[in-house]
Amino acid sequence: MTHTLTAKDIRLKFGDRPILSDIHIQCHTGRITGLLGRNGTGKTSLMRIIYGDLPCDSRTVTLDDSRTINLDDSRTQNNIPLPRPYTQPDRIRYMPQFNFVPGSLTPERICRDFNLDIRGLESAFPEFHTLRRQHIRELSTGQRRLINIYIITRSSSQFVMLDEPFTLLSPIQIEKVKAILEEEKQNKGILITDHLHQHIWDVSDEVYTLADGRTRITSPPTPKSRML
Amino acid sequence: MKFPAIIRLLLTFYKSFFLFSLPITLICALLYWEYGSPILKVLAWFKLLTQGLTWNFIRTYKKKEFYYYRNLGLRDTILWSVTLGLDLSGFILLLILTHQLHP
Repeated sequence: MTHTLTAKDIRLKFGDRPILSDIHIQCHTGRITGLLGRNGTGKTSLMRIIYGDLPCDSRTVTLDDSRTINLDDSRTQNNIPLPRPYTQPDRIRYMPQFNFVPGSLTPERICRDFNLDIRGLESAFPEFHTLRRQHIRELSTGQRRLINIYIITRSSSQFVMLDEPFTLLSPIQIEKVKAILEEEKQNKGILITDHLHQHIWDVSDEVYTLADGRTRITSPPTPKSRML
Repeated sequence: MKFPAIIRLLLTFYKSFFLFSLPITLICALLYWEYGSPILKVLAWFKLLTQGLTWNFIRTYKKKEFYYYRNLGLRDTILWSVTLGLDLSGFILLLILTHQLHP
């Protein structure tokens, strides 16, 4: 069954400066949705608003989930409002652009918290074979990032949002992360943003561009346009 | 999420300020041993004040880690109410114990 996460009517101002004004974005299970935009256009703010942990002027975030709707009920619109998705990790999880895992934890413990098998992490990234009992604070920035990406992407949820997953990773690690995303999109919808645009184009099934507070569906750049 | 997993997460969060909170509680117990019930009110306010400081410090300097707990379904309000409640209970228990042991 396909589910759709819709975010619309989002308005956000910082002081007098409007950041987001005309947002309409949809994310479907089984697909990867990319979000591109320059620095400061509000990509992270948009993700945090969808997640529900950034207050804004107006916000409508709904989840189409016909399984939970009683057809005799007058509320058959299939759209469940999600006022605070951060309280429902089975629906949405969010990976911010910084390490969010407490430094005192170990990869083994983190996998246990997220109901994941540590062997999955080790087979995807063999460097963790020797690091399973190491504290997160003792790992490198790239290794921390890999753990962040792995636990959010692999854990059970209808949708995940990833903020800059490719930044801080080596080219080999990026390819591995892309493979994980391709595999996991069979089970969930993925909303992803990064400054490394080419990787977003590579993995995404559709891409939105955020500019002047608005989102637009964007076509991939042609080889010719890239040369301009 | 299963109950033991929730407890494990709450204890992890509590550990992030336990080493600051424990000496405060012990100092309060020591002062209560020395001066008795006349300073009980002062000690209670002192403990609450340090709890407020802890809350402010963790919210400011460890705010990134709240995403870990949110992604596991634990809201900030639950984290704070349980851990600060546990901390205050420990404080009260230790004062009661001090009161009973005092000759």
